[in-house]
Amino acid sequence: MSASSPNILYVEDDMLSRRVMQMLVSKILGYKDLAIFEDSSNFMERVRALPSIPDIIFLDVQIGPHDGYEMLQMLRSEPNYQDSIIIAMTANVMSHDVEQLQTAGFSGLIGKPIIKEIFPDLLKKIMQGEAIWYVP
Amino acid sequence: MGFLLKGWNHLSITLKFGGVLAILLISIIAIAAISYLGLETTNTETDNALESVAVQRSALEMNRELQDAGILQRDFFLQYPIIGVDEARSTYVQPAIAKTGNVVTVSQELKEQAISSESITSTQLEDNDRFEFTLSTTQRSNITLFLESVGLVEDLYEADTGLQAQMLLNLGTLQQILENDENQHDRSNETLQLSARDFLITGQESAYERLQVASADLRTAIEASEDFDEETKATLLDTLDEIDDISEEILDANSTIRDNFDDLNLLADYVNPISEELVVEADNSVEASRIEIENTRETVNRSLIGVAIAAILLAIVASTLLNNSITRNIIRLTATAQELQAGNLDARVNVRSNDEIGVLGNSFNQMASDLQSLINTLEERVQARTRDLEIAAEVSREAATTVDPDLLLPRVTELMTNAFNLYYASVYLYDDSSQTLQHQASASPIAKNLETLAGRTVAITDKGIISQAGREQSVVVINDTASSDNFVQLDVLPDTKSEVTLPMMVGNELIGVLDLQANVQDRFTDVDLNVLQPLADRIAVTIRNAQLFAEAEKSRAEAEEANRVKSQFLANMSHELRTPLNAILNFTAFVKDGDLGDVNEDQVDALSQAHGSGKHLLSLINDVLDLTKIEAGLMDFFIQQIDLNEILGAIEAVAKGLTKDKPKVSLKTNIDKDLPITYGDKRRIRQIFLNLLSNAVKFTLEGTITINAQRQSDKVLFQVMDTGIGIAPEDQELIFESFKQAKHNLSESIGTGLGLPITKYFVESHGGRIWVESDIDQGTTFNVELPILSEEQAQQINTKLQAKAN
Repeated sequence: MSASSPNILYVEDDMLSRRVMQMLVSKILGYKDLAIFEDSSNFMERVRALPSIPDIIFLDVQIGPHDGYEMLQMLRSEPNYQDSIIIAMTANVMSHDVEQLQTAGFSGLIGKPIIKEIFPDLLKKIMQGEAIWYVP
Repeated sequence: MGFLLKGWNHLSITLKFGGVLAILLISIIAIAAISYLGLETTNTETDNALESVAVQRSALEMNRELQDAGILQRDFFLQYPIIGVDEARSTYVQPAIAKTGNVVTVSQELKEQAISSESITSTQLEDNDRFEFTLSTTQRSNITLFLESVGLVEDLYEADTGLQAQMLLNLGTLQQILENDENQHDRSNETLQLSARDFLITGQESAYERLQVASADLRTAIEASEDFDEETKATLLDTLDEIDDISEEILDANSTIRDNFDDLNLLADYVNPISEELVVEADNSVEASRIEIENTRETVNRSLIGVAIAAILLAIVASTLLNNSITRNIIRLTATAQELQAGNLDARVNVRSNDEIGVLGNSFNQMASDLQSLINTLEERVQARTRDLEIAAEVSREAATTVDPDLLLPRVTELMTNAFNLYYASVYLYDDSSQTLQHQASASPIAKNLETLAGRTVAITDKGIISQAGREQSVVVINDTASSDNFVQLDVLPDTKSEVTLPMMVGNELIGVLDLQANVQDRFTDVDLNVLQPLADRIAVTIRNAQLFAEAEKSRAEAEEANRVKSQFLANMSHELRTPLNAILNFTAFVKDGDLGDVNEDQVDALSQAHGSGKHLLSLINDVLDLTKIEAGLMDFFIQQIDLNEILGAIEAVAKGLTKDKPKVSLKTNIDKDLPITYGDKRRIRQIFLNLLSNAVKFTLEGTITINAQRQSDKVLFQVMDTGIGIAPEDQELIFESFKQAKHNLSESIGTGLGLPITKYFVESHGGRIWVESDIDQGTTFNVELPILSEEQAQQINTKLQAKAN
């Protein structure tokens, strides 16, 4: 990956959350490669159809038709995405939710609401391979 | 003359010896009556003796169970240091509780037997209160006390490993510094080491006292000594302090356990004499019955001897006056009477004359048969009574071991039909709100389609003896169903010939009715009822227990469900609030920070307010969630190895950010560079510092905020000091309570009032403590002391927290 401008995929059904992410990533950080899915239908086909393999994949958890865990499973079962950085981005951040995400094999968590001041720092650490489990 | 003789021979014997024979007949009738009465007395006495034996057996059983429970309890305290608390718990605690439960059951039984038995007139039982007291204390206190002690032991055991390790560590420190020394402090140290080890092994108070003396001696010696520099001296004295503290902690826990155990022994001492006295009473009563039986037998014997003598006299008279045939008959009669008297109850006289000698012989034989059947009946009754008691015991035992009401009643009815050889048995339970008796279970070895009785309901006012027994709260018997107006015939039970219904009572409360039916007439005698009524009551007690148990289960399940619903609600609420906050916080930030174009100062100011309020809402959500979890016992911790340097490094960065906007507030940090690795929940520990820090920033308009962190032997002390508005002494307790803030003169209301209670909970969950030093306008210092935990200690804390969360 290009350390300065990573290739990001974000799957999110909440329109406002998508706009927030777009602002943070494209406008404020100035990263060009941000793909956004509004749902998880035909998920793997659409992922494979992306121009390149994403460096970081942010997944909403409560989403249909496949929830975050199912998407994680699909990604992890394909060799290309076995070692991808897959971060849960969800408002379900009770401690048992976090444990469940860890057990399922997510690489990390950025809980909602996203905090603008620290998001760039979190993203940097994630790109450096740190496991981030951030609950605001 | 020949004619005369012939005429004499044909004369009725009555005319010949009318007077003599009349006397003989009367005496025989009298003797039969005496014998019958005597045997009746014997009968009653035997019943009494049997009841006394049953009382005695129960009293002994109660004693034995109590002793067993005592031994198990003692063994628990002896064995747990050797085999570990978990194993000791399963080996000794469970059986001990079961035994104590048995004591209660048996003593309840005992009470019923003793009350129903007329021969037991012990003063203990007349003093009913005392017996009730014994029952209830055995039931409640023994189990509670014992479990309390076990809990203490567990705590101690848990703490003990840590305490002992600390103690040994401290002893080692002393030894290391002092061992090459030959002065006074060395000798004191030796004494201290010996008594400390003695105390660790025995836990005895005497060892503790020796330890204290040795510690004081050593202290004096060290203080007076000139061999050490100040630092070593301080270390030595600190170590001594800790030894004193730890040994006192161990002693306290030991003595609490001992106190509880003493209470248990007291209770046993109280119950033992009562049951011993009961055994003596029962012994006396059995002895009295035995003597009564002896006496009666004497009377019967004497009467029989009377018969024999009368017959011999008659024979002498007759032999001189009568011809050979009469004489022979009389002699036979005499011999048979003697045989009978010797105990051969099969002996019968063979007299075949038509005259009164024949009548006499027949009467005599009749008397012998009556006597024989009377004695046989008596034996049968004794056997039957013994069998009934055994069955009753079996049913009670069964009832005592089954707690599930759905299993209990079918089992009871089945046992009743089998044991008493009945056509049908069933249980109806009384529902007070609808005033009905509802069929619960029935059994029959013969009748079919009993399942059609399921759901059968009888109103308490209905015809029939089931409702009658419930209404009148007394036993109702139908000896012959064909001739009874009150009998209600059920289709599935065509062969019922006799029936009894027994009310099942607990105290004055009707629990239900036991309905028993037989396919013969007159099946239920008074003797049966004497066995069945206590049995019905015992089943009632068991049903009541099972009902209470089921109710408790139900409310436990309901509480669990309520908890589950509550946490689900919390999770939903959190989710539903966080999603819109994502938009609110970020869009206000984008505009305020100029990401979407230029904004003027007023706009920045307004948006900052909106943004700040959003952040406040977020912290409120977090605090409410935390506090609700704490209160519901749902707070869970993730204990792992943590690096305090890293956490405090991050806190320092946050502190800089927080004070950035307050130009009149300066920040000072004084944090040790190599704080130790310890264990804890990283997120919660960060939350502790963040809470204290944000409080300091909030309440300080100008001045200095200082963050200190220093290692102190096995603890780390953190301080957040500010020069802000301060807290009045009377408010310093209050601030650690939910939703309470100290009064302050800051114009806006800041903070949720939840932060400090949560912080305190987190600190204490990690085994630490938090306290505040402050006064109005003098600034505030929050102190947090966290122990440095080993992996093992962390595990113990984790186990404790898990247990709390469940």
